[in-house]
Amino acid sequence: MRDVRAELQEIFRQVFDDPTIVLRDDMTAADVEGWDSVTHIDLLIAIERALGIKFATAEMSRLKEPDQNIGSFVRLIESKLQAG
Amino acid sequence: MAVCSLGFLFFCGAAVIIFHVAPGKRLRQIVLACVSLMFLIPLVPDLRSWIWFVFFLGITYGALALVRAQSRGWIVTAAVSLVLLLYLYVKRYTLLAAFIPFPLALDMRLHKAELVGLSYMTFKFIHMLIDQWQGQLAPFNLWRYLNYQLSFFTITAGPIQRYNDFLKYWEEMDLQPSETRESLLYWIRILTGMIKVGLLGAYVETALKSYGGLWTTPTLGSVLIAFYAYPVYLYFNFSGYTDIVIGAGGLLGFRLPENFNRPWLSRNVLDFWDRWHITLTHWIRDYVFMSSYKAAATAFPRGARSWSYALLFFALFVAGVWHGTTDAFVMFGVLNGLGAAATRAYGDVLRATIGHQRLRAYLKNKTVRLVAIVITLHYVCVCQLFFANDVDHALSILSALGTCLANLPAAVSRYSWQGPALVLVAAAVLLTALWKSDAAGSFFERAGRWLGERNGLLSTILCAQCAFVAGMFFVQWAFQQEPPPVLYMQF
Repeated sequence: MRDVRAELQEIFRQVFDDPTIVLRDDMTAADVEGWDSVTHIDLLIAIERALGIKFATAEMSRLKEPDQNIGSFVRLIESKLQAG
Repeated sequence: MAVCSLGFLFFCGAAVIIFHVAPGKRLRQIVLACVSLMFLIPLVPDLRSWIWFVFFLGITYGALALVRAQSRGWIVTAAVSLVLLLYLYVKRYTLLAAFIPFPLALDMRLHKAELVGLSYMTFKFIHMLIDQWQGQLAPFNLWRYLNYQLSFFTITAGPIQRYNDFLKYWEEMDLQPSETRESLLYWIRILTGMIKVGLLGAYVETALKSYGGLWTTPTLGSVLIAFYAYPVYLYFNFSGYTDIVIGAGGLLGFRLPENFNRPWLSRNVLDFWDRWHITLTHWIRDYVFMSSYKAAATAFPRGARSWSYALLFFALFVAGVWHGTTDAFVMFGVLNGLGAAATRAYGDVLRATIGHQRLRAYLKNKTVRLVAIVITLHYVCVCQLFFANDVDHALSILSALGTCLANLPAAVSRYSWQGPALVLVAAAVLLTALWKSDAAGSFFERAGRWLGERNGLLSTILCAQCAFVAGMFFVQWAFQQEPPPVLYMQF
């Protein structure tokens, strides 16, 4: 089974150019310095390339909502991986 | 029907009573459909506009059904292009008329058809179409589509509710009516909105007309009012309208998205648009910026940074020119686009030069934040000069402001500190208090929660508001004043 969280953390560190980032489920965009609309897309493109999945516009948007966090991000990726 | 009027209050009250008396989901949906239709009828000026309505809703529903049957990208592109062309035609963009050959250009200038809510219906349709194509849209049919597009609390000026959110509440209508506390809070919200539109907004507008329009000999006071008052007026007017429709929607079981989040505390232009007309900004972020930037950054990964500046400019430019069809709105869009791109570039430069750790400290620095808020506030005021005036008048205000500032000591010594100056001092005090918003915000949130748990106090506040609003409407009636219009209804 893939360790999505570990892979995601590595992608976060590369995209935000910050090797100190440690992901927690309750983290939101406000907790990561520089996580704006532009880096959000950079992040999603990097995830799409690394994990071979695609995000729809509504999903990209939903992940930016205030009630979303790393936990919901991981769950979405896992559901996409399972769906193949 | 004017949203800030006694008629609308009675309309809401009657709708809420009939809605809650109606047993079952189906009947409630019919009640809501009738309420939306009754709200719409007085707003549609003539038969020609009704034909436009039917045509617009017919072709957009047809396009959605077609994409549901055959999920092809070219159908989506063709449908979006067609609807955007229709939008530009009906809205009669004067700038476009210069490039479009006769007789269409002439027709664009002379056409009398008005389509209330066209902008918001277009936004909703494009969102539905793209989400349907990408498999993200909840099931729809003509009945649901018409009710989503024409629902009376979002059609005229938003907020732009997404279809899946609408459907959730549409399907939950058979649930128990909201509890007393919630109902009281929604009524308080409606009346607060009416006070914002009918009293505060109207007062600032009067000040704006009285002093800001005196341009034979611009004085320091008239120039400052012309510069600062319009954004304040627009905020009271539009956020008041939003309060009214969010309250009305809440009473009928719909939780609408918020459109404002203390916009005057924004620390840059991007932050401002994330707090002002939020649902429009988020729509543009999702369906203009994110989609185009993702395509560009995927195709040209090395040039992603440059693309981000260009597309941020484009997204905010679109947000600007959406508001109006004249060259002043083009300027408004250009200034907002430049502000957004500059904000992003400045952040990138800071990150590259001082690194993440120091950038974090920089962003947390209170003085930096206050300076950023003041600069943003003034930049937004400059932008909104072009929102409120034609280009020549906006430039003349800026020029007069420059002259007044250059002669500030002499102007202040000559100035009589009455009337407009008192308003400005009050505004300055208010803004200063807002800058201390972290403490003030948490205090008001705690106070709001505390109040929200006490039905007796809420009832008292509601009664006081009712008396106040009744007085306001009485004055309107006694002086034969028209209810103040909601500015965003023209967009």
